[in-house]
Amino acid sequence: MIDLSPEWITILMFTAILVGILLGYPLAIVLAGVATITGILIEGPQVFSMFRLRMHGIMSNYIFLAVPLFIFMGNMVERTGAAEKMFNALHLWLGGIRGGLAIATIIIGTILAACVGVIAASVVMLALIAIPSMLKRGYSKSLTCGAVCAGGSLGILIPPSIMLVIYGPTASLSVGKLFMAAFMPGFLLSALYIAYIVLRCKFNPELAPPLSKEERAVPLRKKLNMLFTSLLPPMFLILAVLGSIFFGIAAPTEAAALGALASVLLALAFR
Amino acid sequence: MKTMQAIIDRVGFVSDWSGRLVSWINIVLIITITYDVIMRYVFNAPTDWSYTLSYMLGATMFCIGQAYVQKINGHVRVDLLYVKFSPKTKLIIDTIFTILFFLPTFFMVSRNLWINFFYAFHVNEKAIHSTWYPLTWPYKLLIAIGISLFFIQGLVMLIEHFRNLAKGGASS
Repeated sequence: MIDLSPEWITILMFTAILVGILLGYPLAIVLAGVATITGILIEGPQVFSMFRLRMHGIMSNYIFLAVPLFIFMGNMVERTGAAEKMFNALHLWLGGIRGGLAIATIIIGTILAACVGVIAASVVMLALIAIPSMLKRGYSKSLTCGAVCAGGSLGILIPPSIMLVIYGPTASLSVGKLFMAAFMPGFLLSALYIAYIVLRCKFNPELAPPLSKEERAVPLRKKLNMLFTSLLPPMFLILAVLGSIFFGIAAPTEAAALGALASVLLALAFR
Repeated sequence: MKTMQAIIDRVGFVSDWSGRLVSWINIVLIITITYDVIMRYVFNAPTDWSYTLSYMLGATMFCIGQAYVQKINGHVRVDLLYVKFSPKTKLIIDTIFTILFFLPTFFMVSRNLWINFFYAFHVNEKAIHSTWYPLTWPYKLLIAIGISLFFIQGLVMLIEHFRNLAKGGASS
């Protein structure tokens, strides 16, 4: 077939992939197509057998099964309305502080991130609940959206994260270990977001006015009750998933299945 | 033209319907995997079929789901520039890349998968990932069907692209 040096093949393939992806054709098909054309030109038609073998290899990879299961879990949590309950509770507790609702958004984002593996679910939940509430109380638009985007996208880093489930087998790393390693950076980021909001609101108080006294006048007993009933179910879910991975009870795929089951039970309980 | 439209609708219906059907595999997966975990820890009797069955079900879901994703145009795109293009430019890009990348790749891959299925069927190939040793041909048949459906759905959409281009490029 065509005789090209590996350097030229790499450059040509890379250029073709860049062009295809930037023009907006679906990523997966661009990758497959470029690989196929290069393969036919350089190796000949036997590349299709290799393609099929690789496909079987990836599909029989048990750990990738965690991806649909974690997505299922995320969507289930989205439907339970857990985020709304948490927001209602936290906005009473933190509403008095300047920027308190933004901080509540980040905290809920962190908790949701530990429940779901995809950011779509958590960003949607936060956007639906937190943005109207914050705008109504005169928070600045940029702070509101920033808090939702930042808090919502923590899901890709804090385990269980789909990104790590895909990265692990590809790079021959243990997904469980990656999950453990991603914990600290995730919480560090979340803490930094909160610190940033607190400082911004300190220097620029009109960004985020605190809630009025009447709005926060709820008896302590009720406030405590709301906090526990809203936080306990997600904690149960987090424990079911991350606990079973970290204590070595289940592999990530099995933990994802257990978590999915737990999320169905949660949805039933919240109905 | 009328038969063409009927075929396009029929293919779209099959993709749609099969995609919705395989999404229920998620529930089956949750049940089989949880069952295995419970059997292992509570009854100390792990199943030999859970592992193999799970990956086969998962692969079936991925493969057959692809046609559905293609139909709803849900494959991940980097739409940095794509969103700014006019409908006609989008159509031209999709048409060119479908002919260049999609058609040859997935035609040959599905052909190869069918060959592999007939081989597995012929020699009664068995999966060796666990001591369960199930026959592999039902699984290979499902994968071949899935990728072929994906190919057919893409082909049908290419025909639609051509028709829209002939009509002047407005997106359908």
